[in-house]
Amino acid sequence: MELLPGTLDLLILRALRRGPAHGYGIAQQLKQASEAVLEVGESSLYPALQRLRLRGWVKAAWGPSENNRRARYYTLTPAGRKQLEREQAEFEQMVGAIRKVLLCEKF
Amino acid sequence: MREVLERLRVWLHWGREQAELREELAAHHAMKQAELGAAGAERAMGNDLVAAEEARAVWLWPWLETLGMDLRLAARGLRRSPGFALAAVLTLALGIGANTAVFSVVEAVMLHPLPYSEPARMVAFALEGSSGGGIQSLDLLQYNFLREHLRGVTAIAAYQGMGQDQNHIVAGGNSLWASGMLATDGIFPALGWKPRVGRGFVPADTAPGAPPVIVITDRLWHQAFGADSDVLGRAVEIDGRLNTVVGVLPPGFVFQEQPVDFFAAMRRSQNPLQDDGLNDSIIARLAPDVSLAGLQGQMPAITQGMRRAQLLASWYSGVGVGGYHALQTADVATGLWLLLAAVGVLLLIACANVAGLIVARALARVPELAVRRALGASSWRLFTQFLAEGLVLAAGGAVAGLILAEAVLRTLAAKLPWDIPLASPVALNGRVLVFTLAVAAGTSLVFALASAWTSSPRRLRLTRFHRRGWARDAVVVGELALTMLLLGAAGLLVQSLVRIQQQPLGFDPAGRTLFLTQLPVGSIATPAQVWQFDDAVLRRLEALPGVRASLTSMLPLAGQGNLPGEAVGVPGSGTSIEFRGVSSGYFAVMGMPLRAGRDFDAHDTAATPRVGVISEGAAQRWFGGHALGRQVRMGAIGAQVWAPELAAEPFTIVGVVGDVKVQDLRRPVRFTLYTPAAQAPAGYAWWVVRGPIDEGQIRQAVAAVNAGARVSEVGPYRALIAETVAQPAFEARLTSLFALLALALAAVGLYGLLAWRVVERTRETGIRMALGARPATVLRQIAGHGLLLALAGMIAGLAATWPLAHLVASLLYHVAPTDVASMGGAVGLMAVVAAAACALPAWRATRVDPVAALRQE
Repeated sequence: MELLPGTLDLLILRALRRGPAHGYGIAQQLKQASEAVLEVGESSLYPALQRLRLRGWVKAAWGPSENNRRARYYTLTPAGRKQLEREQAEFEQMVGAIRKVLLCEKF
Repeated sequence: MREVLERLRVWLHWGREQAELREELAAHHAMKQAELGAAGAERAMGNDLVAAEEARAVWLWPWLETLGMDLRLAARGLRRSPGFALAAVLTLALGIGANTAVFSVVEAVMLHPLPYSEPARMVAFALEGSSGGGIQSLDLLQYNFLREHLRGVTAIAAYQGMGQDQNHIVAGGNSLWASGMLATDGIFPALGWKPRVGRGFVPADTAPGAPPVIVITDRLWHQAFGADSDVLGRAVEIDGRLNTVVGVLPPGFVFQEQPVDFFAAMRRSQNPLQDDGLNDSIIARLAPDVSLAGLQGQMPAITQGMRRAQLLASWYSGVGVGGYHALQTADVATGLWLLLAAVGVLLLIACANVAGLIVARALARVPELAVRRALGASSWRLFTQFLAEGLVLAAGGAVAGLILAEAVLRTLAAKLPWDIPLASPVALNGRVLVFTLAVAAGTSLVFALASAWTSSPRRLRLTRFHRRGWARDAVVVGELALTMLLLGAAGLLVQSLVRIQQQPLGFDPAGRTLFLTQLPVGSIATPAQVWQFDDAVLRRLEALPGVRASLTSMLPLAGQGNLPGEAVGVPGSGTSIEFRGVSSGYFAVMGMPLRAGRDFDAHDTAATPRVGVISEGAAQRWFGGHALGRQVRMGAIGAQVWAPELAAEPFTIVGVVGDVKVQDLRRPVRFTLYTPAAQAPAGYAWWVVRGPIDEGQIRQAVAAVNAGARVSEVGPYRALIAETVAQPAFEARLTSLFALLALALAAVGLYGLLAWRVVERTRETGIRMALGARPATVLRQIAGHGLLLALAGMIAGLAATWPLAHLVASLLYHVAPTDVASMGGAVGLMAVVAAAACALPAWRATRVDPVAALRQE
């Protein structure tokens, strides 16, 4: 299923809330948490990560990975944490509003 | 903002970033493989390229990347057609280079900001209405009047140069020649500069009898005083008089009009007009809330006041004020703008030619463009491609043009006839480069539009037969019209120059050598001693075989020297009269005809009554031709006296001599009174020598009499005359050069167009010839078309010349803007060249082999 546009950034930021992760790890987390509904491919994931880097919401650093290779780990910055809170609140607001419309019995 | 910084940071390490991205994706692969196994990973992969590209795209401004791609593509395309690239770049280099060179001069002379504070607030005064034209200087009495009555200026100053390198300075053991400037106390506030140490002038410095003070420049401070920090209050001997240094100017100070090493306070003597009082320039600085118009509004009242106070000679219509820079450049402005317009036209023609080349080349790319359009390329995308191509060409042309301009400016730097201000040498500075950049950008836009025009969807659909628009014809006609315009302008200027040079001088400069002597004022004190020096040098020079020598206070065409004066007993004859002190034999040496009476001789000395020889024109006007025995009074008119010593005794006329030109070949002759040098010797004199002599002999002769005397300006008279016409000559020659270059380019354009048409019509021509058309008919068709274009261009050009010629009327001397001879010459030249341009393609057309043509498809 396709993600609602603009929500990928939010999900990535959330995935990094507890601690740093590399690209593959983030994709795995999202897949597992959504019970396999959300599958993010490289062509969406990495451009999004670069965008977050550009805006200063995540930092990137190389480190050792599980299979003894190098991988680039992304960490949430304080600005990123604030952005996560903001976007999450906005999203909840939007979803709540949509739900109200869908549950409305007036039409 | 943080985004821009992040972008910059990443761009700096772009290579490393790309490598890291690739590694990251590879790691992602590996981890996926580990999880799904090799086959699963393959299937789940696939968008690696997209991922990399999209990730990269986040960091770039997309247009930058496409531009880079387009530029590389354009460069590659040009490399594949080196002939086209070379022709285009060279043509552009010519156009852009010429424009850059001319603009550099215009920038230096007219646009460069003056080295004063707020130069736009500086104004200068001039006397209007005299026959001479140009800026007429004022005198010290008028300055005092202005200073008292003018409102709205924060500073006003009068100044007068003391001659370049003509002041002899002795200071602390050093002795050198320097350039001084006399000025009143407002000079530094008017210029907006403050001395670095010490002070400027105060009103007390200019009072009669005040101790002489000077303010020196930083350069002189180093040269004459060795940058001694104790320089204030030091005494300096200048031309025999002691002056005190009261201030030193900062190192950055430059006086725009001429080199100045020091300023001396202009002191009002008992008679304000003795020596320094006449021929002053007056400048002022506008107060903050006052405009030039406001000041100009005061001038009529000022003029009236001056007349009432008898300060304004009757032959002037009034006092005027104008922007300082504007007045200074008034003489040269028209000529320079004309040159800039001429190179602008040259550039247009060059651009038109290159555009034509581009269009011709574009036809070979029609398949490529059609395919691109079919694949969905938008007009905008194609246009950016053409823009990139235009930029590459324009960049190449601009770089080559800059090199050309630099080379030309360097070689011609010494020969430029205009007074290039000292603070702004002619060079490729910031403004000039911006100009070149703008020109290059403009031309690349033109080329892009030309290419886009050929690639519009409608045009791409046309087959070859139907691609016969009139657009290229119109461009060539335009080129020819512009060329006609330039040729006409050049013709007028050349004709004008010839007229100027044909002006009768009134004397014979052939074989005459001239030089200037100056006596160091310390060594020779009295007029008698000066005459002793003059006489001794004369004898030495005439001792040389075949040599006749003479001296004068001012040579014709070297400068002017006039005073108010009148003919005694002729009411209303008061006017400005040129006044000269000459040695006996001067008229013979100069080849000036003696019309009546006698020349001066040994009997006319300082002890005998004053005698004079007047010019023909004055003799005719004042005395109806019977001038001998009449008298002329110099330095006074009626009761108004300018120079009491001169006015005390009138000059009795003993001879009448022919008129000579005074300062400029274009200005009319003026009434002149010659008097024997023995009766009024001056410390500096111009010498004229007829006969075989060289510089060494001259210097020897002078040094033998007085070793300290300074000899300068040695050279043939012809050189001095050439200098006076240097400006119109340079402008005429340069315009002619541009016109001929334009003609060459236009001819190439015409030839190119016709040659192209011949090729285009090869098949048609072949059919015609196969059906029996004679070669002559084919020739007539092609040549006729070409000549028709040329005719259209000539007519259009002539039509444009009519109204535009009046703009340059001020540059023309005795030549009407619609002079038929000049135009006729231009038309003839263009007709010949156009015919030649048509001849070759037409002849080629007749050689088409019908069989081969029919097979070619």
